[in-house]
Amino acid sequence: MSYSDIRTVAFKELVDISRDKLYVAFLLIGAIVSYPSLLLGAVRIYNFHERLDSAHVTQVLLAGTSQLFSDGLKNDKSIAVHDPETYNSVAHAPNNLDILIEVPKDFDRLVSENKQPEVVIVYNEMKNFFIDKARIEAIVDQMQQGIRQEGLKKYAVSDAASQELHFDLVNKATSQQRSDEFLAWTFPMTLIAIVAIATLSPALDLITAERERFSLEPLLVAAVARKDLILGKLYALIAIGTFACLLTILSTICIIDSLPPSMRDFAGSFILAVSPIECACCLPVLAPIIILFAASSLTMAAYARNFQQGIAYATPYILVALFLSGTALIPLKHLPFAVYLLPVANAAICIRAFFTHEFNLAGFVTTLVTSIACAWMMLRLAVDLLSREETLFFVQTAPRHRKDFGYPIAALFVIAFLLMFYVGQVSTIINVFWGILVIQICIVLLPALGLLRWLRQPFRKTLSWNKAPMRMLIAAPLMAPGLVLLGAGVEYLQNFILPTPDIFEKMFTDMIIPKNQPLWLTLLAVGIAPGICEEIMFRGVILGLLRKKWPAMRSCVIVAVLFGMFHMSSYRLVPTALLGFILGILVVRSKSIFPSMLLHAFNNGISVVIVALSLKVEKSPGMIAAAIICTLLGCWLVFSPEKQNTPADDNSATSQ
Amino acid sequence: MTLQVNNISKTFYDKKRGEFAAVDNVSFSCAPGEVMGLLGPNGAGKTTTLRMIGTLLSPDSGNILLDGFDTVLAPEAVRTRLGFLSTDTGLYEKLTPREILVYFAKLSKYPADKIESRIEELISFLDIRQYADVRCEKLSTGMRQKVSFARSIVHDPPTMAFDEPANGLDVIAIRALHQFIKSCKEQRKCVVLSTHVMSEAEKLCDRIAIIHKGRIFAIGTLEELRAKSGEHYLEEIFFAMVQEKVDELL
Repeated sequence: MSYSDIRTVAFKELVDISRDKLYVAFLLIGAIVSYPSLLLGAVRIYNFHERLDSAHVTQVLLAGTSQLFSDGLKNDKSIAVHDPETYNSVAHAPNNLDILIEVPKDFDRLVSENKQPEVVIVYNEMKNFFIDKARIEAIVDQMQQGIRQEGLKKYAVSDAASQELHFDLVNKATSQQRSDEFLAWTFPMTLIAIVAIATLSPALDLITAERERFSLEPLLVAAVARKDLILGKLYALIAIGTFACLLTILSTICIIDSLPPSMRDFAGSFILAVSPIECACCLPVLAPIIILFAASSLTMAAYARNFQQGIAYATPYILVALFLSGTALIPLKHLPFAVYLLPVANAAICIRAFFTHEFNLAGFVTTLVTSIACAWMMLRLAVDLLSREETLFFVQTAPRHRKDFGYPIAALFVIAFLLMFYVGQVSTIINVFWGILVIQICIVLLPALGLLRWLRQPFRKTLSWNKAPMRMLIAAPLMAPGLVLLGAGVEYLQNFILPTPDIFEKMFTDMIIPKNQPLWLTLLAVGIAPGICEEIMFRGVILGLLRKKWPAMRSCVIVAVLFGMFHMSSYRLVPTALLGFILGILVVRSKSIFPSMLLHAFNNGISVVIVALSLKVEKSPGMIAAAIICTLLGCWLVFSPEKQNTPADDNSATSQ
Repeated sequence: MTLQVNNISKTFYDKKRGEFAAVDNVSFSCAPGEVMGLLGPNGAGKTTTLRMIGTLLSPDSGNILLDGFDTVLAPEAVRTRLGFLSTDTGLYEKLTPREILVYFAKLSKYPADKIESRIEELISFLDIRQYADVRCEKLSTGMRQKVSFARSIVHDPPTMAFDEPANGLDVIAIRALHQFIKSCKEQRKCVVLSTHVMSEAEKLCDRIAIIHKGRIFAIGTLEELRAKSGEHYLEEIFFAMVQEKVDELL
């Protein structure tokens, strides 16, 4: 990494961007005007409602006779009550009426008899609907409470519940609380939107537009590492994001300080609870989001072939960012700590927590680490995209020569994993046997084969679909009992660190050995189907594609980890990953997928038989010894030096 | 300081044609002070070859050595020694030619204390002093082309790759380009020039490789090609060499 190169690129980009007058104008106006305008708008609206509330008298027409209602309404000075007989005679225009309340004639009597008479309340929705509705509802609430207390008094029962609730006090926000809440909700979302928009436009200009105007090609031929190029552009974007945030914060503080006292009195002191020094301190809180958005924008720009495509990607990108930032609307006490692992949402929460004085250092550190990790992954992606021939020159590498399948494999795994999580669980709940078969065929086998077809890779060669040597086909089932023992041993050791809950074991057993199902069906679903389908996906497609780039051992380890994760249980991760690794090695040694299919099917089958027949293997030294001997024999067959194949043999194997 | 291109191939894929070889087993070399021409029609594989030399694409097989550095194994060392120019390369509109030259000189690791004098030298050499501090968005096509020349040689590379540099240029700009290429030759630079203009190849190239459908059909000096084909003009030589393939196309 060359810091001077990074600095050179960053400086040039900043100069370039700063000379784009239109962008600079939008940035300044957006950052300086956006949030203060929102704040002023809110103050005006609060002001308006406060004034309206104090000046407005709700005109109520009470139809019917009720002393209870009449008393309740007359207690409120902001309500004028009329009766139908005098209403027209006092020359009130009908459209001046706000509320009509119609009570039955014998309302008071029915209430005293603990009955529930029907009262009709009609609001004039064309006028001050919310104020009028709130006033009437408050009166009705008080009436109901009074009636209830009267009734309880009659039976000499104290109203414990109503004493505890204190309707009037607890739910009524003070002006200060109201304005603080408003700031805590809206400020993080505004900052996130500002950073996202401020970094997106220059990112598109720095890469997409550079590609479009053909200035990227000479830059890529310059003697500078692609990573340094991207980092230089990233630093420029971080500087812009930071500048936009600073402007927004400063302009907000300025506008709050300059609000006239009369507005504050009505609106309830819109004072941002941070001083200028604290304001500077909040920049580290914003750092994760700035880094993440700068990196995301760059990646998107590197992926877009032209400016229009970049703009098309920008809309969902901004929407997702705003959606995630909406987490700031949820009070912190209702959120689990794990939310700090969710990019964007965690930053929104940190910003909100900073302004509401609920700042959590552990949460902030988690946010910072998560954001930097995400940004780093994004940057790696951007560097890859920048170097990729397909995106640089709109050419498609010949499938025969393609070696890097990292992204397609990751996509296959994520899609299969998500389908397994949602569709798989539902299908096994409906019917275990058919559910497992659906998972194996529709979620495991078909997507894997579909990917291979889409990548135009040769099926037989990639899947190692070759005739296996006889000794490998004999070795595979021989190794199975030992592998079952090994898995059990690993689980036993794992229990010391991560004990498997009994409920989990029972659920697992119930799932693989359902009641009222013949053993052969279980063996078909749990043994043979995964033996074929999972092997084709993991040891066939994924291992075959990985081996085009990586050495066999590294590929086997990656496949093993993916295989372990695919089983979606932290308790089964290590045993299944170990099994996956051995199956991978078997494919590499035998140059054929069939021995691993056999071993997988036998391994699962033996486990099913042990559980179904309730065999106590651990109490049978003979069975353990037999299993070990079989496995050793199998291992010897697999790993013993094989005779050197002649080139003719190799060719014949490949051609098959 | 030489360029060695050894049996390079590059295959692409598209839906219409399936897999096709854009460059098929191409080999040539270029010595200091020599202009090596890649002459062929559009789609012959010239640009792909030059992009492989420029480390923008990597060959599926074969290798390219520039001063002993492999384009795949040591791309940055190759880029330090290479100047790359094509007609459609763009400039940064908001920067001045001087700023662009400083930027590329720094990125190309040109000694910091010599950058200023080097840029002054180039500004005088290409006669762009009048526009050196004007933003590129205000420059004419010819002036932009001169700035592109300067950018490609600002780090004084010993090897130059020109990819169809005369495309879309007017007569005056083409004349400036040809003078520039001749000056590179005089400075003992190793120059690879891809072109489909026969007269340009005749005028500038010391040796010519006739390339068609990704393959080199003939390589040699103009005299050698004349002797081999029995034709005098390069256009006739070209068609004589690729006649077989042209017949197939027709």
